[in-house]
Amino acid sequence: MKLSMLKEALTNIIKKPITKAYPITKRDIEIPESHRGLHYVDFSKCTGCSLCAIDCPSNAIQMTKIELKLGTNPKNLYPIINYEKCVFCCHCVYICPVKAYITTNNFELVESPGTTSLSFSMKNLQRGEIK
Amino acid sequence: MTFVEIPIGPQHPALHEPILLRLKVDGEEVIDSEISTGYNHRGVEKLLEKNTWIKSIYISSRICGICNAVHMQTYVQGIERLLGIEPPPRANYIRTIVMELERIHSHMLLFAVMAETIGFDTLFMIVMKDRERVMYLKDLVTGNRVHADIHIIGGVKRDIDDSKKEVILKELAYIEQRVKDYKKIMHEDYTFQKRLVNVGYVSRNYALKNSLVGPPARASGIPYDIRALEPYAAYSEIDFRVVTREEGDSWSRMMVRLDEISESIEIIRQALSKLPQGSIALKTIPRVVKQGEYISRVEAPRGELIYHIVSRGGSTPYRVKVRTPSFFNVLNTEKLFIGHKLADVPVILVSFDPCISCMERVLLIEDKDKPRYLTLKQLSRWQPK
Repeated sequence: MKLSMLKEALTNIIKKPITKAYPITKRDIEIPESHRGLHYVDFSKCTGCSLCAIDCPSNAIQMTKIELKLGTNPKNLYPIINYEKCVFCCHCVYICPVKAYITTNNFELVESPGTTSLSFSMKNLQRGEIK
Repeated sequence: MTFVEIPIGPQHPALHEPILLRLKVDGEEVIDSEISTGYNHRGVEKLLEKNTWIKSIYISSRICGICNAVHMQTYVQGIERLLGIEPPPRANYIRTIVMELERIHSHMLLFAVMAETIGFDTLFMIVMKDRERVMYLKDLVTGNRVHADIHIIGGVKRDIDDSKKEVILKELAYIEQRVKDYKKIMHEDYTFQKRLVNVGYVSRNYALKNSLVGPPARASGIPYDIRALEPYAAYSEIDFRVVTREEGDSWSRMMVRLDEISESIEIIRQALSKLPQGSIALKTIPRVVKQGEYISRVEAPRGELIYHIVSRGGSTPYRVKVRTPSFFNVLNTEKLFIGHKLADVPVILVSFDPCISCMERVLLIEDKDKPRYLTLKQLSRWQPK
């Protein structure tokens, strides 16, 4: 063991630094597909039942009235996630009765202050309408 | 007698969390010591009472960063017993796997911290590098490196499929080999022998009298393990050994933890091979808990973790009392420093795996005539009249 430790220590002296200048060079660490990253709501599926907003432990989800008139949501109430408050427990994803949440393993969430899921959800909706 | 009083903490490079040690030293030798706590109150218990049963599950897991799944298990288990429901067997097995992964990385972290404390920084780096593989496994199974958040009342949120199973078994084989190497270092290395052997001796009597729990108790020859005494999750269907040693010094406390890593790897292998088919959670999540109270006990990586949950009906808990294992383990290190060199103090404290921020509670107990304030330390020694 002592020899293997010495080997590891010596190879690390010769190696380049393992630290990366992060935003410029991306890190090459593998992130599992199932990682709880950025998530947002598919507005075309949401029924406005508000379960996610009721159960959210950090009160990050707010039900907001958006006049989309898609037909699936009679009250036009849609959940909007405030990522500054979100703790990424993904309880909303689990509890949703119509599985309306779209999950990604994206962990790079640095944005301007006050970023909400509204822009992601609207973009997703537009993509759906084009199809 | 002349002595110098040296305060260590609440902020100090040798300590990783805020705690104050007041040491009286004569030359290099410690002649008296006193531990003061109360620098890290977060009001978690009140927060648990203010939130609904489902919200408070996620708050309970935020009490401790390292043993979060264990905190969640204790709380969820208590709620399930109050409701009189039982999670499906597959959920119990997945919970067991997550908790054992947590035990492995917690013990590896402490081993790394111990190596750093005694000045063996190369080993610290190597152990932390290996630990990253366990963190990856936890990410794979639960969705996050640190916060598992996998429990829900009546089951778990995520399933383990065959591809994940293969990755877990492959990585565990590597970790098992490395743990064997660590044990060899513990036996052979000069630094470990000099700094840990016969340092901070805890006799069987002292451990029993002061209610030490977890690895410190097991290193003094007390086979106290809730997994074996009061099996929860899937532990009743799994064969495992309660690791005990007789020496009672810092070295044996570290060795108990390393042996427990090997035992945890074996538990995960058994759980994966026995993983029953079926659903992972009940169809509906209950939102109202009927009146009653329950004391829920779980073996956390640091020792016995207790939640006293009181419900008076309704959607929020009436009272949740949390007693973390560090409560007894840290406060009772006080007398162990006496007679040792000043440089041994951090080593003894680290060998008890202190988790100060989980332990801190501020309490107010009212007498009939006038209010009386008790600190944690007074409470730990408080005896009913």
